[in-house]
Amino acid sequence: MTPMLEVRNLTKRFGGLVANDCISFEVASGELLSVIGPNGAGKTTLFNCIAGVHRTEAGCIIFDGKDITGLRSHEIARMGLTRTFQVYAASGDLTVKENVMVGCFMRTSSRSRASSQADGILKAFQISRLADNLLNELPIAAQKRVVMATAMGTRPKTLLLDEVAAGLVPQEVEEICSLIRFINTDMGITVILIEHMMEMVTKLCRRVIVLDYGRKIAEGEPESVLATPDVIKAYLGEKYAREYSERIKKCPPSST
Amino acid sequence: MEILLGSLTSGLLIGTIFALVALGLTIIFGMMDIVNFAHGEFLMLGMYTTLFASGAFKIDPLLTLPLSAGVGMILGIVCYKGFVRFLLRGPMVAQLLGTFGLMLLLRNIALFAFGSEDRTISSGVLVDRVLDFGMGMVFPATKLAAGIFSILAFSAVWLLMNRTRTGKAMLATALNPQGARYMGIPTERMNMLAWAIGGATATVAGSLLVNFWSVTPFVGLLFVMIAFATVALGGFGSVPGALVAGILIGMITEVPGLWDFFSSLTGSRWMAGVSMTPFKYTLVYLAYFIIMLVRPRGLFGWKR
Amino acid sequence: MEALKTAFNFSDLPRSELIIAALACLIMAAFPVFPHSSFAMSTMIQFFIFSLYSMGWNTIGGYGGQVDLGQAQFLGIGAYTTSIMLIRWDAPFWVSMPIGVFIAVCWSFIIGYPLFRLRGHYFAIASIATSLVLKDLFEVWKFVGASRGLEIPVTRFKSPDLLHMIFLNDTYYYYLIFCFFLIGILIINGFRRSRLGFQLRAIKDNDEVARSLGINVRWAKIKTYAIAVSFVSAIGSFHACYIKNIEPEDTMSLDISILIALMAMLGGVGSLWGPIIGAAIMIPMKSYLKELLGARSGLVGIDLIIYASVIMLISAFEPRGIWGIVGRARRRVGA
Repeated sequence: MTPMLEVRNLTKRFGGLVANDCISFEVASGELLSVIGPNGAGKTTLFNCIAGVHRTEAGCIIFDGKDITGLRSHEIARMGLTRTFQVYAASGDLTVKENVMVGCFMRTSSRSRASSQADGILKAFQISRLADNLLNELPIAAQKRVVMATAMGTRPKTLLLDEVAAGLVPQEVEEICSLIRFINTDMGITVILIEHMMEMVTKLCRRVIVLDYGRKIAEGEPESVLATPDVIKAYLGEKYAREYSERIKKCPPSST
Repeated sequence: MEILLGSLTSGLLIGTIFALVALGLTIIFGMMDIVNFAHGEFLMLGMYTTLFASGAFKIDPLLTLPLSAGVGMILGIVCYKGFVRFLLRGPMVAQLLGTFGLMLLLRNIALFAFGSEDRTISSGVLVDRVLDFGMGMVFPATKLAAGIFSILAFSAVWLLMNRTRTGKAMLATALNPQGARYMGIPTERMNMLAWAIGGATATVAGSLLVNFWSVTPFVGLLFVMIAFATVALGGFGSVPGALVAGILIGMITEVPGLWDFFSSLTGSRWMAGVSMTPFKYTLVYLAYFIIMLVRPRGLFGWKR
Repeated sequence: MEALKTAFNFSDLPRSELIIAALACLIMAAFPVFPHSSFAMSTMIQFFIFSLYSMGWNTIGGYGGQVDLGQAQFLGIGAYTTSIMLIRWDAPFWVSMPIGVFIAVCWSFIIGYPLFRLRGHYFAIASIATSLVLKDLFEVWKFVGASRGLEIPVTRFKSPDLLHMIFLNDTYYYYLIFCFFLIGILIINGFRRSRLGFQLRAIKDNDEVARSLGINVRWAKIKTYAIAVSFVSAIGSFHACYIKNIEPEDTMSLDISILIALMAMLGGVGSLWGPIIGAAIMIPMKSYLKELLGARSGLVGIDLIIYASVIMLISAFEPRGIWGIVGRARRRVGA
């Protein structure tokens, strides 16, 4: 079966800095994959490249069987690849419902249909009561929901979520997790996450990709990847990696 | 050939003045991202200052430069403290319209106070004197003096910005106001300083023009648009850029004259008898447009 | 069809607002019946004209956040097209006006495509530059009467002439522009409820996010620009027939472009009623100031000084405009 997303030898440079260095991976249709790595590893840049925000120096990106390398971001979005942003400044003119409607307007030009679709999505995300609020009036957890709801309005085949759990307390993280699971399992949408929260990653994903200094350093099941010395070294440094691998040798972790 | 060189030198000289006007604008923009439409009015007020001072005290216009600079500094500071700083926290529409309102205000106060007739003065030591280097490179002494003083003023500001602590502080504020504040730099004072320099350079430029440009309350708009084009070409926020761009723009304004001359020489029917000279400044506006499309950063710009 | 239904649909506005608007319309419709001075009548007509200009501007400048300070050039295109066609070929208004709009839209595509690569201050200055270039051109172009401009010979037509839009009695102009006014409101209402309207507002919010939602930012702006210039050009045509005497300094100056943007800002950018409220304040103010103060020779420019001060005060202290204040008050009470 053809993978939903194929990234081959993607390289992105900013002047002298190589943000993404020859990255390759595949994502199967309906998969829930996570991209992890320390800060500055190039995760958001990777998303930006896939979504058409940056032009890449080398490599190609194939989405749903079509080569999307070099296409502009709105064209890629219209093909079914939607991404969310980690942080963004908004002039805050649109209400929650209007935000979601903007998403829906990608698929329809009728206001009434966009309106009813938005109503449906708001209900599914349980934020109907917030419909008339402005985005910057809301607490962070609600804002993240709105962002995801807006993305869902575009009826994507694949969703790129950039740190949706950042700034959330454990309860809210739980809620976001079940939302993501719903989107992936029940609606069949392929989801790629950038995440820092390891509990979330291990709970949701069956496969993770680890980036460090722009390169892919590991790929595989969360537990095994997270135990790889290279990955530990990337996050915690040389010293802890050595300590950890010694501890593992003495006492292997029990499977959960 | 002589005509060409003559045009070039003429363009060069006027270009240094354009550069001086642009200097103030680019410093203010670099500092706080405000486009000062009223900049041309500062120039206009500098013209009137010199007009009256040299008339009242019967002295050469060039001697009134310090007074003019002083007036400019005060004007700049007053405009900043009294009005512009309130614009800073508003949306861009407000900033644009706000300085535009200031432009109208200053222009109409001048109109009310001084009347609308053109005034010229031709006084002072240098009038009617000409420096002739041969080959058509004729420098009328007044314009030459204007050019020299422009360059002097330019150098003074450049030294201030690059060789003094205050100048470095200003640069820091321009790059990152928040960070500068954390470093203990009084950003409010830096902003005020930017406006003081901006005002002073504009009024001095106006004073330098007085001997060969007629003085009316309406000169402001033309000069501010030329200044915009110059700043765009040189790069918003760049001091050396303003100089280079100013000279280039000065030369551009000479092109229509040259064109007319050559087309009358060759008898070409291009433009069907319409002279290009009224389009001297139209060309400058076009230049702005083209620059923004081709290289929005300008020649030396660091702010995009 | 759906577009028409949307235009007439005001249901998302609060009822109190609609009642006030309806009442205001009734009063405006009845105005000529009551005793009034010719000065008041001409001020009212100017009010309708300028609120339409401002409503057009508001699509790209208010909802879209691209501050355009060069709309005067499109006013000129409309006014001159109609004037020239009327003077030379007796063309009816209803023919010359659409042609003017067509020319204006074509021009807007030509300059819009490069122009919308710019944003913020750079865009604003570039828009001024293009407008000034056109004005300079018109000032020397003999075909359009150069700096002397054009004058519509009223005597050639028998008033009331609906075909050519020449009337001696202002009341005809009044009702015609009032109809345009109502149509304009419907068009803007349709715009803000439409897909394009939403796209523009999303772009204003954050254009990177807008792109990620499939919006072709450049194209959306160009389309909206076309709407804005259509308004300005069409009403410019009317303006020419009303004033009957146009010249570049009057119709294409920077001052007019600024006034158009200013009215929208004063009333509240990005809202349906904002430009109208702004015009309702600025036009009478300008007219009466000019009448009272400008005419007297000793006080040349005072009316403009007051006008300039008003601009400065609004910009510094209430840039969100009157409708912005209303909106804020509503949120505090309602939420």
